[in-house]
Amino acid sequence: MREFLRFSFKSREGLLSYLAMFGSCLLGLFLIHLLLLGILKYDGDSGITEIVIYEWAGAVCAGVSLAVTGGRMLRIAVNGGTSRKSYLYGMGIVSLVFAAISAAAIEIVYIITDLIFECFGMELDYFTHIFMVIHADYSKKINLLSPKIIFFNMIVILLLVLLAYTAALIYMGLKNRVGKKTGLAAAGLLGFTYLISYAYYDIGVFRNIFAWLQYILYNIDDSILASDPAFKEYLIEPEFSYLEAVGIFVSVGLGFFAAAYLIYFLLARRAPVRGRA
Amino acid sequence: MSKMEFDSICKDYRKKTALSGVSFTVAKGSIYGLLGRNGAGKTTLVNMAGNRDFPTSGKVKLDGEDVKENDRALRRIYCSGAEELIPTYMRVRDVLASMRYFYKDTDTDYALELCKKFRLEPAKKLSQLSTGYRIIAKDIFALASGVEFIFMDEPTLGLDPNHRELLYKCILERFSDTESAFVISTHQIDECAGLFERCLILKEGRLIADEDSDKLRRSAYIAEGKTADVDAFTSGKEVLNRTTVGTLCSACVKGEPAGVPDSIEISRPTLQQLLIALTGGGV
Repeated sequence: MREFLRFSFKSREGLLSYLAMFGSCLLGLFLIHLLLLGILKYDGDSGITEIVIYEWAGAVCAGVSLAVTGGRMLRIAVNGGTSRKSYLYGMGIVSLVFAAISAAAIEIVYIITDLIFECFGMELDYFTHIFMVIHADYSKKINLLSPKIIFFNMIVILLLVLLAYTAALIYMGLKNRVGKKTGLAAAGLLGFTYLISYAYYDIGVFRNIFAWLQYILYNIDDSILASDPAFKEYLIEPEFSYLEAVGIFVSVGLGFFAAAYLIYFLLARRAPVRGRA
Repeated sequence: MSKMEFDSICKDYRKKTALSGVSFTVAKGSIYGLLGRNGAGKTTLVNMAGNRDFPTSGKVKLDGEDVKENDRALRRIYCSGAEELIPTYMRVRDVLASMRYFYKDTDTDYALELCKKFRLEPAKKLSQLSTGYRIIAKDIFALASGVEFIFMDEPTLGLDPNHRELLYKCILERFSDTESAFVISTHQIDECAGLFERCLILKEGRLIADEDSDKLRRSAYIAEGKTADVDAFTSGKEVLNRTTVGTLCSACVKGEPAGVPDSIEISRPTLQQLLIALTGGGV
């Protein structure tokens, strides 16, 4: 496994390849934001416009990048005489490191974008961290560069990245075992389920989890992160400590990831690895 | 001397049995020819050796250790399969660099020397290479891997005669330098015949021959003459294959020729002729 980990983090085909792909996607998202900035500015928009881009799109990009890079790494590793066991154990560690890096990268680009928007009298949303809102006329201001907020944002993004990774792992597992189309269909369905349940809380199994997370998010937002002495009367009593909230988000993310990883492990353990004939 | 044992390997797919109880041993210091018709199970066997696919039953062992899911054993084997596992966006030199993470003894200098000999640009991506050059690149990776057991599946597919000659020379040179075991699966049988010390012949998933190349060739003879004469001569003998053209007939017969009449000409079959005879004729 040591050889595979070294290959994953040091070679061009591992982390670098992942970062190149994921970085390109993030750059694309950044350009879309700048384009939106131009459009909104030009229209003289003074209301609140919700755009849900960085978090979910960034997470999707991370998932796609993992699926592509992971598949290539598997083929190179097997060609290099690596057992499935070593690859799969290694991939568990590699995925978690990639997820952490991705979450940090999304947050950095988010902050940069926010700073640019601020220059034009607007800012990305800070109330929910998940839904980004552009405020042309905002009243409550928090310091986005506060380490507490940056870290919490990263944790929330990490959860989304891990959810995207679950779809990527299901795709990777089914691709080798059954076929690419089945893998794509299963991953797409899972992603769609997340989206629907997250956006509308409408899918049974995930409903409570996402509703609960959203509740924690608002509570921690209003009570701790966005606590502004000027708006004391609006503040609510925190039900969770900062660390508790972080712990819950990380646990849920890891829980979903572990379940998908287990399925991937079982699917890929004895699957033949084939390339192009 | 290190050796790889294939012990009763079976591989069943849903509707087909690809390999059925295949057992043989590959020892370091020999070049083996893995021969057989299309669909005989050669590629499946190579995939088993490299842990790319798993047998339904049976074991592949290296010095007594099961190769399956065994990194230590697998790092002593290099499989250059017919299917491309290496992503084609990679440059030749990057593939060599990535190989070094897994095969510590990868000889990059030697690989670059081979690239020069074959006029292959290491800076090129595999996707930019022609079919022939892509195969050459795969052959170079195998030769430079520095492992003890090298499996090459169709190493000459799409190569021109000049490159094929050069490849055979390089394999022999590498073999004499490293004494690695080479198992070469190919359809260019007569061209490669000089390389093979031992031949493994597969027919419909079964191993029908595992013999020294010369001994195998001497195990049969070709009797040629008028059809009636050949038929009379071969009566009661084991005829592996029989071809008739007009009034003339050629029969590949198992065993040593004895009591040959003047009307019959006897010759030794080439390895290719013998393979055709053993694996179902020209059908």
